[in-house]
Amino acid sequence: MKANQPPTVAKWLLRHLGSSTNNETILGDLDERYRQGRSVAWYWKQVMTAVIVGMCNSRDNVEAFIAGWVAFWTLFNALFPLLGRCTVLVSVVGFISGLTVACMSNGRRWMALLLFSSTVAFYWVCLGIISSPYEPAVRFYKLMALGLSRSAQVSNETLVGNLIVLTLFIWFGASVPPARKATLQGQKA
Amino acid sequence: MTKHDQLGSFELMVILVLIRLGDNAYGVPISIELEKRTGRDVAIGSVYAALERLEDKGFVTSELGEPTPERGGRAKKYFHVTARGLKEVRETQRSLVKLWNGLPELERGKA
Repeated sequence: MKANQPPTVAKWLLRHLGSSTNNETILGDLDERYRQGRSVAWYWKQVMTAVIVGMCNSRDNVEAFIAGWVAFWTLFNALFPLLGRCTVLVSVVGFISGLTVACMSNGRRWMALLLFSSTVAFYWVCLGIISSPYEPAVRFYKLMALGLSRSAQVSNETLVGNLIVLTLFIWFGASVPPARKATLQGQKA
Repeated sequence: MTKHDQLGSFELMVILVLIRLGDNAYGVPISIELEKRTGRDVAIGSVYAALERLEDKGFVTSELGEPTPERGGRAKKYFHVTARGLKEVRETQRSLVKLWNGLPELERGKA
């Protein structure tokens, strides 16, 4: 027998990760169709589609994602010769790129931020793989980046530690704009 | 008319369904009608994404309706086609008919 209540986790996901301004109306429509006999799987599929489509449909979020990557890439390449791949570098780069994503996205920015931090993490892991002494990775790097010197090798511990710091600082940077807004509102009051 | 103001194929389907449904055009009947007419499963999120774009272009307006218990107490959002939207649909129809005419493959029903 099907439960009368739609899946709570799916609803929570759409409410928090959905970028559409019509999230509540979409949830109302999904609940109505679910109670007309649609399955739990159908409900989940609809929620996941709404989250992805909402993200792609929001021009602000797409621009924020691109701006975040531009900030990350520019700062990383500008500061790397000065600082090397150290914790200070990843903290600064993470904080500023996270702040950029948050400032440029609309009110519902969590999906843009989640996508940004996931792709940065993926990039970081790839960077670790190509700079590792692991023989297949070395061969892969030589094949893909012919003639280029490999970046400095770092230990797995440093790589994972820096990845955690980078992710934390991205989210820390992203949490600044609302706090600043609240302070400004408090000052106006 | 700029490229931004043109109707995409899914947007055209949605706006035609809105015209067909009249005053009862909110998410559920729109998606049911689209499924019935196209024979495909329709994602409500995609319908709303198209409706948001149509609203931005000024082809559609919306108003909040009454909340109902089967919707978990959430309000319905009704959509209406504007005069500008109707004009755009007619222009799109004219362009498509011009493109359609004189294609023997389509006229004989081969495609």
